[in-house]
Amino acid sequence: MSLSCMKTNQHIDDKNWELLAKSIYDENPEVAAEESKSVVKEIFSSENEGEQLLKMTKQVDLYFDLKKYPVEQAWGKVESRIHSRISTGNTIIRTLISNPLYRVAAAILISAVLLFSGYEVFYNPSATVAMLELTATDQVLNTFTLPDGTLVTLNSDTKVFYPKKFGRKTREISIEGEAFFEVKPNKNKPFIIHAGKAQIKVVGTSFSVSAYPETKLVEVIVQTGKVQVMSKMTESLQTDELILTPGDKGTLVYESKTLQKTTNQDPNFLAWKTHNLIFKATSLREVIGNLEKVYKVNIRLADPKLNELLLTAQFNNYPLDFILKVIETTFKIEVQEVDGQYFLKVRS
Amino acid sequence: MDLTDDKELYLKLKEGDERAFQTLFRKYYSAMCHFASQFLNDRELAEEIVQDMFVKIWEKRAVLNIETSVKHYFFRSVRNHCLNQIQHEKIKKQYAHNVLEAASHEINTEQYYLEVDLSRRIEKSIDSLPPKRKEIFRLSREQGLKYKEIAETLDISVKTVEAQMGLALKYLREELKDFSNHLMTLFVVLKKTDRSNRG
Repeated sequence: MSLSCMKTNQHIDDKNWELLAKSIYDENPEVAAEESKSVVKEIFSSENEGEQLLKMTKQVDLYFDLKKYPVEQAWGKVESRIHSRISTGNTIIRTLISNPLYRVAAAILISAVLLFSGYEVFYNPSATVAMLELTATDQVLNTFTLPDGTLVTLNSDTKVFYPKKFGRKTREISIEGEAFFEVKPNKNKPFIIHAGKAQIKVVGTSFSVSAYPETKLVEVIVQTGKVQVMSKMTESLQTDELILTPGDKGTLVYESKTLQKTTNQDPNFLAWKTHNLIFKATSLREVIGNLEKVYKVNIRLADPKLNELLLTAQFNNYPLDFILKVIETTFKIEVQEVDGQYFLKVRS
Repeated sequence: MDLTDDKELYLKLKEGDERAFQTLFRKYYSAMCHFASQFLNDRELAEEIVQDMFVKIWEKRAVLNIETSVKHYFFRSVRNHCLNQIQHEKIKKQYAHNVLEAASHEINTEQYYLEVDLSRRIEKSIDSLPPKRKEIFRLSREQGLKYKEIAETLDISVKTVEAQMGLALKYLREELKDFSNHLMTLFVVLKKTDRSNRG
């Protein structure tokens, strides 16, 4: 049969192919199917050959249909899901998906939470290591578990890159943004974080790192344990490093290339994670700064005089509206909300 | 051959071999999505469902029990996921009807799945078309444009489109003809071996 195919094929001239293509590709599909059959009869000796041609055109069309579902990105998503604790949350995601309203939310959640970054090189330029990426866009996210059991909580606009499997001697990750780490102790395998131009080395501790690219500084605040912070900016041979203990804050300022240790004065440094806010005779300007950071909102003071009002209060995981209500009544001022922006005004 | 391949991959998957899992995923993902979207008329939802299904397969790999072909198992599984989805969402009746009808039939996987080799071969053949012809063919097959629309898009005559599409079809036929013959030969050989094994 295949021999006869070849013979007849040579006799089909381009005009016939044109007719055939037109009947298959340009007409109403049902009419085309009928018509192409008759064209096929004219130009092919065996009906079988015509059928084979139609089958081939279907396979080519299927090829284009399948191209609509690129496998690469999808694999990245699935791979991240099977690697992270998120996968235990699947049932939640799935039940959410069954409601069309939540479906969008779930899709956003998945894509916002876990994106596969393909191949990223960040700490060893000579080796290409497959990296996974945790990403937070506009919400504070839940805590994730890294492959070694370390817990990481991401603030908004934060990315954490980590390898699928840590190396033999160290556990190295990199971060852009702000995150809180509870490192699983392992004396033989130090945990190293690359944050902008600082390197942070720890052995079992909990601390917060802030390294948003646009702020041009890196901050490390330690809650428990011991942390070493190193600047990668020093030009001299002597390494520039600090040892931080609980309550300490290390700051690397890019502009001045200085690495400094201070005592952390900000009781609210972790409020973006805990939503616990403490104010002790804190100026309203500072209070608002904290609220903006924790609740991801815009708050404006209509009158500069309001800046200097002092607030003493403690809020343990309260909604923003409640806190604003308290401020409103304490200072006898007025809070207005316009298009998601809050304005604080003197009462008229 | 392909079938034993899947079986091997499946056994490795059961042992927790992620590479095997990835290979199966890459092999069948697009086809599953194409299949699911026939029922759901929603590409994104189709992808979500298929991804969910694969994650579930990975999580349940230890208790997974596939006795028939892996391919058929996947297709059935996607169909069931779609059924559940539709029961929840009451998607347009027409699509629900499609699934229910498909549920009562054997799934014709050929309609959705392309053998990896064939897919590559098609890709190569299309890529080797002259640029203009390739563009015309792509507009027709990938974008689903009529000849007239293609002519307008590219600012050329319908006659040119007709001629180029004819030449494209002729070329693809030549390029891909061997492939179907090749497959058929293999099929025959396999059948023979199968018989001799039994005998």
